[in-house]
Amino acid sequence: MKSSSVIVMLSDSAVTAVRPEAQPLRLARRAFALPDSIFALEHSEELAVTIREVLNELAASETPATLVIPLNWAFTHRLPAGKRLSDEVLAFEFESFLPVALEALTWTFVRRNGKALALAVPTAPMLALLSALEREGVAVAHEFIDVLALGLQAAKSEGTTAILDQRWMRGFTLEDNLPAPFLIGFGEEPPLLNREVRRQGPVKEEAWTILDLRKMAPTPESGRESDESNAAMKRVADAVSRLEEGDLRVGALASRGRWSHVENRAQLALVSAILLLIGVLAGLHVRSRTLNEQRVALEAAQRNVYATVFPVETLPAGAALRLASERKRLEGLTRQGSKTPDSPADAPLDALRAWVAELPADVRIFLENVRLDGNQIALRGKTVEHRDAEKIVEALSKVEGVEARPPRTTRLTDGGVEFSILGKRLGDE
Amino acid sequence: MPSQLQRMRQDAARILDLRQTPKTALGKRRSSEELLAAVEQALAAADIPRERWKDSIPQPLSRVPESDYQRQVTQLYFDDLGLEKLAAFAVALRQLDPTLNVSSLGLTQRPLSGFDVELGVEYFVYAPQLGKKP
Repeated sequence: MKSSSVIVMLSDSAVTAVRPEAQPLRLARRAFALPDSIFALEHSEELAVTIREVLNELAASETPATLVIPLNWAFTHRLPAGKRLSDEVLAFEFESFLPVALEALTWTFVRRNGKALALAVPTAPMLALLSALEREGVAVAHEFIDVLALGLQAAKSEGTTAILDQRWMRGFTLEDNLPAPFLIGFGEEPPLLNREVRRQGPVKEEAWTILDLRKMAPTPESGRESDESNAAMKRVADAVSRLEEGDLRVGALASRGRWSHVENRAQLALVSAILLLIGVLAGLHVRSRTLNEQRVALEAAQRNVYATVFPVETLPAGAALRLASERKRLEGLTRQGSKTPDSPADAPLDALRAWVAELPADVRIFLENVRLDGNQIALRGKTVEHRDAEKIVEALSKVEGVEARPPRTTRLTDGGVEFSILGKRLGDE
Repeated sequence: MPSQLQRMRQDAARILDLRQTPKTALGKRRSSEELLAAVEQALAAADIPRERWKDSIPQPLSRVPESDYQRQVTQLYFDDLGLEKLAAFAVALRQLDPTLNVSSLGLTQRPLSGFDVELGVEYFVYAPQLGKKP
């Protein structure tokens, strides 16, 4: 396992990003009040934004980072571990020392000399921080505990390293596993540390380097220039960069790639789209089936209607038009449509009959010629006198729809008159 | 606006009703033989001797203005026919064929009795004009 080229270290009061391989050392720092417990980290987004800012300052926002979290955010315990004890068995043993359920943690083990150092972080709040970093476009490749890094690399460090850790939650010792020059003191005052040094005796004459993890700002014990703090910072970063064990980016916290947040959103959008499409298709299917049932019922009704006129077993195409056409044809044959000619229907004979019925009984007529058609009535004949001809006209005038003109008469030499009567059928122009 | 099914029901009911109604127009022009056969039957029904029927002259088929119909008129000529026989013939003709109508009548008194009759008989052909507005 090779750490990334940029390391982000979280301390009680600052967020620091370091490029350990850069010459000269490059680091960026922002003040940030980190809670003592990760359970108290209420706004992961603010911390993620601060981390992104320090990475931007180092021009390392595109580089996967190694996140170094403070010891008090983790649970640790040293367990005796034989070679054949699996991680699951060790976890069972580890759980008995935990104040929370093991299922709520992401854990790993560092095995050394027959012992195992159990390391665990709460999964939910850590995952929230990592997710917030993903949304800020920060990829976290590895995650280590700060003291672990220093402790495991203590043998490779120069001089004596003393780590001040005032965090009250728990202690963390590796002196059983590490060379003597590595000490972890829990006292605030340098005299306390000096007492420890005096008790154990300095191994080397070089000035000690004391790292105050509360501020991640090394304080030279011997009053050297503050630029040594940068060197100490680099030593921490170098230690982290060479770590091959204890990476907590495992299990539920395993890295999902730089663009995992985008992938998550894309997956969510895809799932939503698929569900929407399924819903639409289901709705269309139901609608289609309903419409099909209605269509079948309508066709059956239409077929029954059509069959009353034209007996068939299946409804032919254009059945409605066929019925309308047949209706129009029959109306035409029975002359009941709107465009039918006036039916004379025996009108000439009716007119003749009606005229005869109106003739006075005492009028003697000799008809020589009668013409009746749809337009006019013409009578020519003989009668006794002109007065009789007028009676003939009067009778004709009483026929419905007939307008008769006064008669034209000619007196005959042998008696009587010859009449000519013309009547017009009313309504004809 | 009625649905298509409603219109179909209305049309079907109307069709069934019209099928029970006597036809007063023809779907196509009838042949002269058909018409003359009807005249002969009517003469026989009116007890008029066949020889009284002198002639028949069909007129050109003409379109009735502003209608879907054509009119076919045939002039029938009878000699020595009384008014009573004439009326009987007209009634019998219509009873035999309701599509035939008397459209004109001409009577000319014969010297002794009876009339020479010129009778116009018409029938209509239903022939709607496609694409033309009335």
